[in-house]
Amino acid sequence: MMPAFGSYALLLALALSAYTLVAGSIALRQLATGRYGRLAPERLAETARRSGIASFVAVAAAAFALIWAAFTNDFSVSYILHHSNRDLPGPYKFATLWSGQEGSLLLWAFLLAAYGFVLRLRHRTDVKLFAYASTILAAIQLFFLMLLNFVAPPFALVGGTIPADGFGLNPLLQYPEMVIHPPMLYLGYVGFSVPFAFALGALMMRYPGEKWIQITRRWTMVTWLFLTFGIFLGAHWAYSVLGWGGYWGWDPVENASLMPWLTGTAFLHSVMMQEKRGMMKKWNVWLIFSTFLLTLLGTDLTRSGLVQSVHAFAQSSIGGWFHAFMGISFVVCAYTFWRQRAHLTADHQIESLASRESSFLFNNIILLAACFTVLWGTLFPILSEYAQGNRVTVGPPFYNRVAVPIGVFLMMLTGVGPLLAWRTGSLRSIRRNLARPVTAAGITAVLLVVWGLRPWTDEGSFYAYTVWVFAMFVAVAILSEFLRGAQVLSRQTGRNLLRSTLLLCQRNTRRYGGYIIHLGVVIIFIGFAGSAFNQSQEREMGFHDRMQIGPYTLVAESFTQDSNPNYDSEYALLDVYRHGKLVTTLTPSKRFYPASQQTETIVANHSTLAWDLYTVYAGKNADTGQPVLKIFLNPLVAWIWIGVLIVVAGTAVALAPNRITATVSVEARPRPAQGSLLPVSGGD
Amino acid sequence: MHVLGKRLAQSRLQALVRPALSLLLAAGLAGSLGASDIAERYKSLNHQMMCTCGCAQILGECNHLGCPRSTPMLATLQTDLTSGMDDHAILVDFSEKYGPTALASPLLTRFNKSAWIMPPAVLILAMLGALLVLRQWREHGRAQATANGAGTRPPLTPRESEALARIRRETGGEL
Repeated sequence: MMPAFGSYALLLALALSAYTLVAGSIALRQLATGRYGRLAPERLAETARRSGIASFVAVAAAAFALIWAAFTNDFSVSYILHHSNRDLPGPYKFATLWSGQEGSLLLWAFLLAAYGFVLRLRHRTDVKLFAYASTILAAIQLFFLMLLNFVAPPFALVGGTIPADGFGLNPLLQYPEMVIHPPMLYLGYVGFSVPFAFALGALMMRYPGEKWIQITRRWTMVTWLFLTFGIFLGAHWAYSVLGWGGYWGWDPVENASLMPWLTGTAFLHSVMMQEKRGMMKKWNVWLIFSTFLLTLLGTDLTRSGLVQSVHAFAQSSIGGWFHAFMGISFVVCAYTFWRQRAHLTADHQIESLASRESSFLFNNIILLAACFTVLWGTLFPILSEYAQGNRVTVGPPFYNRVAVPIGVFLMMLTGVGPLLAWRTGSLRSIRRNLARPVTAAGITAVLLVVWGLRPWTDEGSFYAYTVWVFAMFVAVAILSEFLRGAQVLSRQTGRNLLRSTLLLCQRNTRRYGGYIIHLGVVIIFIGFAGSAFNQSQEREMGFHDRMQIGPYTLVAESFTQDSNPNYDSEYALLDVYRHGKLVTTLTPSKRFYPASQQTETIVANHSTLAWDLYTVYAGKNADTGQPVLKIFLNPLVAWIWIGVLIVVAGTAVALAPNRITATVSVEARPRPAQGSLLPVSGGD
Repeated sequence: MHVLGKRLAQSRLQALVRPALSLLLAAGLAGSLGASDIAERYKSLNHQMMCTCGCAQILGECNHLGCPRSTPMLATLQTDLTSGMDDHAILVDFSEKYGPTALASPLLTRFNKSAWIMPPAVLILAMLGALLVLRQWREHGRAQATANGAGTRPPLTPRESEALARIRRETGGEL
């Protein structure tokens, strides 16, 4: 019953999306040419909008049907048979929706329909622009619904006898974060379709002015936030589950999520130049086009098996469909750009190298170079196979040598950018603004050497040293900006510095929210740099054996077993001492899932601000019967997760409306041909 | 005056380029300083290789107990090290024994060189291109301003002067 319901819901959604696309296109064409049909174009566009809303209901019904099938153990559905079992806990049955290819595509279609639903409900903001965006979203939706209906149907039935129990969910996915990481990541991936649709729509209709950027700003930021959070949830999951002691392995699928994040971040910065000064229009259009195409490439890499990856949970032949869709999307983007290029003439040009605009430009170039590096490294094995007949591996050593310096450079620019004024800044003011950060960086550089860090000994130490020195530079630059603004407000209002800082943030949420995000990024980089000093030990440990790592002594208290309907587990009980005092007891374990006949490592971690004591129970040595433990001491990892939370908080601040607006009224007068009326500083 | 300006610009450029070159040199040196100790080299090298069992993990980080590939590969590495082979020879040896996918990054051979060259080349070219475009825009802006006869800035109105003074007062002269 439910599989049939789900299948029909998907068919209905396909028909409704097709109608939204066709009717919407006809209506917009009629409006553009002035040649009307029997039905007024406004009414036709309204039917398209309503059809789009209805398509959301249909896709939601299909998603519900699949989740229902998982919860009711309907193993007649092939997808449920292969990704669930009776004893699977409830939250993971919910996660079944995105644990395989068909479900992931359904999740994509559902989230896209949900974004479209909200967009279509808010159409009164700008009816024509929203009609264009709605039609473009319908075209994307149509592609995914075609895949779901004809290529990868999630409700395909099992032929012959239906097994009594399912084959279970991949154990790697049976972890709490897996219930939120994929939806977050997909919200980010899918969400970039919305600013893409607005940008393409605005270009198609030759939207006057830059208001569309203000309309889409929140969409873009929310999407960026989801993608950022999704990426770091994935990193945290990898750290907690994969058991190799790291959080980022430069795996092709990880790279696939990073690429649209890099171009999306570049877009978020450079679009401010278009909004404020009518610059970089062509650049911005291509940035958002590229971001959208990279989200498709990411899904393609994850699902098609184009590159080898530990993440490619479901590989199939849908790659061809994705390549075709990416090709069509590119052609549509390029054609629209070529047709409307005259509309994208910049209103102004960058006037000075020492200006906020040029810092945005260089920030963009570095972000795009980073994106190119990741794309190049991800696709190089395929190029290598084509060019020299054998595949090579492009792994962490490559990215650490090539991408890390680019990242460090980018971080430094994060500190310089806010110190520069819009249009042009005087050398005197730049020097004055740089004084504090440079002094702080200099002191840090000396202190680190005094503290014992020797950057000349190896590559890792050199990068860590550079990152920490630049991090101090950027952090002080950002904090100086807060302090400067708060001091002015404090003088004006008589409030103390803390309250003035709060008021400052409320008055210009975008600017100070952005600074908070930058501060979060700096903290994340501080955490990344700690990996240069990771330590690890692996050895067999019997009862009451001791292992020393850094300041910790680990004592193996016992090794035991446990069982529940879903899995059997073996685990070690390790007492952790520091300076002779018991700090904590860790229980790393190894699980065996009978349904899928797979094992999974469950890491036990004692995290502090200084380091993580990360323990892995590797199982028993087959020859000696002794338990084997792998212990890592990873410095500063907690700073990464703290940095992410600060980024999230900063984005929330940047999304909030300004509560108090400061206005200085100056009589309008004709603008002179050159030179600024008043030195302009501030803004975003 | 023009020559003086050029020299000033050159000296500023040199002031920027010299520290940058020193930094690059330091990075190069730091990168080339190989670990001389065998244990250090063992750790460094096993992080430049991949386990070939299909787990797609760095050889030194393969956490599969009794992995059929990583254990013998690590033993080979230890043997190569004790036999006195240098790092490059060991990497070449592994590539020949276990295939090119056993190395975690491409060696600097023919086509593989492009893997290493392209990213920095793209970054440098993009930076140079941006600098050229910026220069062109600035010159274009100056030429336009001269053509419009806007060399002098119009005087501020009393309200603008007042606003400017107030801003300077409130920001302690920082703006």
